[in-house]
Amino acid sequence: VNTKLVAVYYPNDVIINEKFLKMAALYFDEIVLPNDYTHFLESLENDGELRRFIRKGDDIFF
Amino acid sequence: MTFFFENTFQAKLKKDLSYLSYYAKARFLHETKILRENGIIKFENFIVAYREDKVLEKLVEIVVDIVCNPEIESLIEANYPVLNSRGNEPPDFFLEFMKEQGKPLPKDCPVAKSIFWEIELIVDMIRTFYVANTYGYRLLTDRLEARDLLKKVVTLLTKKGFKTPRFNSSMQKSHELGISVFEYTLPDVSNLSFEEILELREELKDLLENYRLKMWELARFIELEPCDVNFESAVKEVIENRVVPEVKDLINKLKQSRNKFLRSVAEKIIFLPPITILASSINNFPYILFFSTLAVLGFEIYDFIDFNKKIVKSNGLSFILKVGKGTLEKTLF
Repeated sequence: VNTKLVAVYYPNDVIINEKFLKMAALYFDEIVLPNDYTHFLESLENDGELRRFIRKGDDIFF
Repeated sequence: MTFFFENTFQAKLKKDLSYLSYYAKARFLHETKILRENGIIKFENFIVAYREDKVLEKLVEIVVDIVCNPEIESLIEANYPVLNSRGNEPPDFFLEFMKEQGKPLPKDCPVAKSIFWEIELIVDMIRTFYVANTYGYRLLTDRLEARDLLKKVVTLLTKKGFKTPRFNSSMQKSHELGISVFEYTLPDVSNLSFEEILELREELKDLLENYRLKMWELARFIELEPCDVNFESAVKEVIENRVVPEVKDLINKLKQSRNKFLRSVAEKIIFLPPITILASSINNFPYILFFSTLAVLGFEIYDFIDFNKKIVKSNGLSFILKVGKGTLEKTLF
């Protein structure tokens, strides 16, 4: 049984809620962001560790 | 177990119902136009209220007026195309709106028939949401304030003698359930840097795993538990007895740790007042919190909804019944 907790985050705005991201980064196993936020993931280049558990939404949405 | 955040119901309807938010916006604009033309809503008043720092009060009035006034309801209905009699075709105002947006609907819009049935069920809620969202977005960024707003709406309704089914006890109960599910407290780590959070994640690995396991159990419990009269208290009990203790362990470990790093981050973490992770990420009206809550409870929720259709329908959530099967299964599994 997969007991992983995944937070799927579809922001209301173009700006990702940093507070949410920090909370989710701690309390969830994985975070899934929509594909449109690729630029955000790219900006995390220096936070390689954080990127490990952030995925793009393509594989989860349809 | 997947937890969805922010704009949840729009997100999960993203593909099939990609016109939903456009429709809600179009309908809101259409309705406010009617109301303004009839002198029922004077947005100038709103500007005055803004200057007098009484936006919230004004907002409540507008929400109450639009949602609950039977005269306004009939006025809107009179100005509305009756969707059913048109075979669920998109109404003209929507077609025009989409044209203005540069996204004209195709002649034979394959999603139209499936979406309008759904939309009619939830549009009242969306309408309320948009009223609030458009004029009070920043005011409603706080969960407590949003909750407070809802209470004010209900109080005003009562004072005005409205007995609207939209705020019946069942609905209230659902709101309470939605909010109570997330009232376990999570320490707010937003003052930490990402580096510190990553380190914390590693340092607290075992405790966090326990916490996540309890959260997972909670979602499973909700999935399996029949939605009877005791459902709400049963959920609360699970939260209190299983989830909250894990959160307390986390807090204690941080506060009492001999580890210099943990102690240093503990100083930056906000333990009080209680912060819910959802509240921090949802900036919308309580309805949205409610919808999101349903989503967060695990999308498998539609399974138990299946044998509680009556309850769900009375809460105006029938769209989940239709949306749930198929699309959400694909989403999650």
